Amino acid sequence: MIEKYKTIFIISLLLFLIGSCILSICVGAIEIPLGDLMKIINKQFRSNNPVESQQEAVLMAIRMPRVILGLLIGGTLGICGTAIQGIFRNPLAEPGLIGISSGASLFAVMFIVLGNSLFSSLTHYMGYYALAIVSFLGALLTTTVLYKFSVRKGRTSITTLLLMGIAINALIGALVGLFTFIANDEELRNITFWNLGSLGGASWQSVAALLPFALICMGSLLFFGKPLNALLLGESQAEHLGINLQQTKRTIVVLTAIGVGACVALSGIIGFLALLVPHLLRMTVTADHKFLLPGSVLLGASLLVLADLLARTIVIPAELPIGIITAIMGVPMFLAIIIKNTKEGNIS
Amino acid sequence: MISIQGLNYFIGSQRILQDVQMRVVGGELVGIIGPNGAGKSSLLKLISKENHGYSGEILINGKNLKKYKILELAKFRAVLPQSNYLAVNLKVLDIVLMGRYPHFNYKPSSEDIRIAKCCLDEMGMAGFQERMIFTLSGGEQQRVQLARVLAQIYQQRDGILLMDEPINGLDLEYQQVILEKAKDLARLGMCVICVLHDINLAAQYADQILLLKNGKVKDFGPPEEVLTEEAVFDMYHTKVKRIEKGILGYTGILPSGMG
Repeated sequence: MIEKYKTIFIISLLLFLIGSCILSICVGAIEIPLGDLMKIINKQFRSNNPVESQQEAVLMAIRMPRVILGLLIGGTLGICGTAIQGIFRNPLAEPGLIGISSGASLFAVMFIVLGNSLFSSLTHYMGYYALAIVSFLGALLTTTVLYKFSVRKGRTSITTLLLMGIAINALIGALVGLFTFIANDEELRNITFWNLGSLGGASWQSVAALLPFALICMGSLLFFGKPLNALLLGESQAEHLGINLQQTKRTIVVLTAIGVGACVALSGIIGFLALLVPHLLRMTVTADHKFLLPGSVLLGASLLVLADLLARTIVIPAELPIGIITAIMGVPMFLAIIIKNTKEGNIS
Repeated sequence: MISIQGLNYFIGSQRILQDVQMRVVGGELVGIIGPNGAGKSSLLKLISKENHGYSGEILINGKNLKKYKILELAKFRAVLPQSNYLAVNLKVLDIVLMGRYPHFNYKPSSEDIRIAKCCLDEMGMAGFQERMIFTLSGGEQQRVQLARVLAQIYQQRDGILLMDEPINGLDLEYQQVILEKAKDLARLGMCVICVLHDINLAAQYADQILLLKNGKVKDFGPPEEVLTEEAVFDMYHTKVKRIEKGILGYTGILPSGMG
């Protein structure tokens, strides 16, 4: 009965995602009506007409990579949010709030400012990949530190977790400020982009850079439904059910760092999405991770593609940073969770 | 079979268990009783491989506990903890199916689902499988958790069941139902170890009773031998009257005032 219900929900999420993508491809500073979209796509496969229309150029060089980048980042952030909340056993764990994203961004900013002088050959040969790997290391470092400090005897202290998040974010804010101080104009523009988050830099290269990281992260995390469900019973019960906790946690931390790190490298910090997505699904469907994990990929992708659509159409021809949109969507949800948890006595 | 030799356990410099010996063979239900802080739960946590860092030897079915992989152990040993804190709301049947986790990889087989339903039925919760756990009362939630534990070791003849205060928050009927069920599993050939606060329930159901005080084994044997008025007074500083086995079918203990 319920299984059927979950399948129906997954299919509707998939349809929602396809709808969001088509809408996002068609709407923008230059409109591409659905009919024209079909014609252009058709043409790609025949390619007997070498003349490119303006619409086609916009679609192929700008709109498509941007929507695909949005898809990958949204899906990755969504599933990472679910996985992180699962291992911390806490609904408030979110890569942005607890400092994982800023850890990644600090390393990215450091790389931008110092990269040209220190690792010029590395940047030259590896380009976006170097940035993604460096951000991954930053994310991995902060996640490990967070976990070491905030989890005692298998229970996460929410207070410690959030305070650690504040501390990490403040420290990193200061360090990023320091790098801003010594950065030149071009580097400065890049740094600003990091802190606000944007898909504006999307290109086929950036899609290609993110793709392996996103696929590894999403593809592997999808298989963690069973251990994450068992963790809902508590750490010792999960072990009694035969789950190897240390290995599970370590793998999830690394996979999340890969995903969040690469996303931050390519789009900057996009806050609250990872918090919002798992909650929406838990509230509306179920807390069963076998549904939650694939569901959060689909919903995360749809919401980010739609948020990006808003970000680039509200103030045409300018663009809003996408972080503003996701924060406006996410903050009310965050407050609602805190209020609910306080009432239930989970936060003191 | 569980065999424990010279078990010592410290938390920091605090001695929790001192030279514990005990041997439980398949087919027996052993009740661990003792005052608060005697080390009952610690002993159970060591046997369940939840806590480490002890000295001495714990053998499970002839093999050293330290040599078992977590999954290997989970296939025949189930643990019901003292408190069942659930982080989020889940469907009752999904919770019971978690008991089958050691037995399937990704998707439960139809046999796993049949077992889960059967265990819910045994706990008198047959009509609840589609309900969400938070809509149930505390006692009903406890029965769901028990059904999950039963599903984990369903019909394992060499199975081991460890229970810490399984009847917490249950009414008279289900106290009896659950211990009766534990006794059935023992009769099937399993080792059942159960920490109990209620001496009378221990006397009623246990084949052997382990008296634990300050981390030391005071006595270990059949209830009618272990539960003397003197021994109970020594443990709880409470005067008791013993009711002999002939009347209730088991040795009863009634308090008659502070000593």
